[in-house]
Amino acid sequence: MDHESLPEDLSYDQSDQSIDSEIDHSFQSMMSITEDNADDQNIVESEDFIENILEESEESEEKSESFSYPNEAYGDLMSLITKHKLNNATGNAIIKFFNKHANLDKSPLPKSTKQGRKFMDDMKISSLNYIKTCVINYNNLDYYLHHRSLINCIKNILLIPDISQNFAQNFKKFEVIVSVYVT
Amino acid sequence: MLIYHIFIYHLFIKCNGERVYNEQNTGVWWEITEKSLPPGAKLLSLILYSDATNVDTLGKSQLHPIYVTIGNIKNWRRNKRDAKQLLGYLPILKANDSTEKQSEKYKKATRETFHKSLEVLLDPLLNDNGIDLVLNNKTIWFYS
Repeated sequence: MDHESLPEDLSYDQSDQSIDSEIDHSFQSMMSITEDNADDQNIVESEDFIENILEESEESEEKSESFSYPNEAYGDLMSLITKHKLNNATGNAIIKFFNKHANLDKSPLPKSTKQGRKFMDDMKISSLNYIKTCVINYNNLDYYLHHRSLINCIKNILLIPDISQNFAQNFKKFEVIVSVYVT
Repeated sequence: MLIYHIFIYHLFIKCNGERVYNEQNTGVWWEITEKSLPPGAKLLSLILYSDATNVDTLGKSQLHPIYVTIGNIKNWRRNKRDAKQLLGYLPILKANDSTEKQSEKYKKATRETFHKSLEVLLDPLLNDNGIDLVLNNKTIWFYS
């Protein structure tokens, strides 16, 4: 299936039945993938993660404008593709499906999945930026440590929704009261 | 009733008041350290771990990723893959041959690299005031 190269014109061609069936097929396979991977918790977590990134980027004003999708549908599509690890062909099928049924004059989505991925790669997200620090010079070569902010990493972990229920804040002393083990 | 005779019973009886250790916050170290904190502050236990990882099937190129997770989280939850974050990649020193790798100079440089790297990574925590973190929409003052 060659959905990699989508035609520039995204208007759906009703007469082309072969493409129609192909897209139906790949859309069905996408649906099964989506069902298999439907893990509500993971979705919530990554949403929170993205929210965190948004907050972070709002804090650093000079970088905030570079992190935004052109519109909400664009962002939702890309997070769907990323979450379920969809390939480009499946992504393109979704784009076609959306453009066909949404009845919009101008499509809010990227022309192809590849273009959407390129857009994500070019984003500047401050909390995901790696800092490069020269650690040592050995045999006339500089060695660099690539790392993220430790505080940001901790914050990201604390943002996981169910983490607070399993988070110990105080010392607890456990003692045996009565115990008889029978195995 | 024949089944009962097949099983062998083991009986353990523990004395009352015997101490049980399971999570990090049940340990003696936590008990002592918590007492040394200023009132209102909580203890944040950080776990850093690193291991060499092959990035190709032949094992020719390696990376040393270092991860961070939090010791306050209960063990079963901490071991799930989302409860940890990639912190960075430690540099790997190049050596021309195995003789150089065995040399004292190389070993010393490797140790220096590791210590300098950790110093850089942990630098944000090296102040005297602790850090404020938000957990479940509540801000908690942590020492780590």
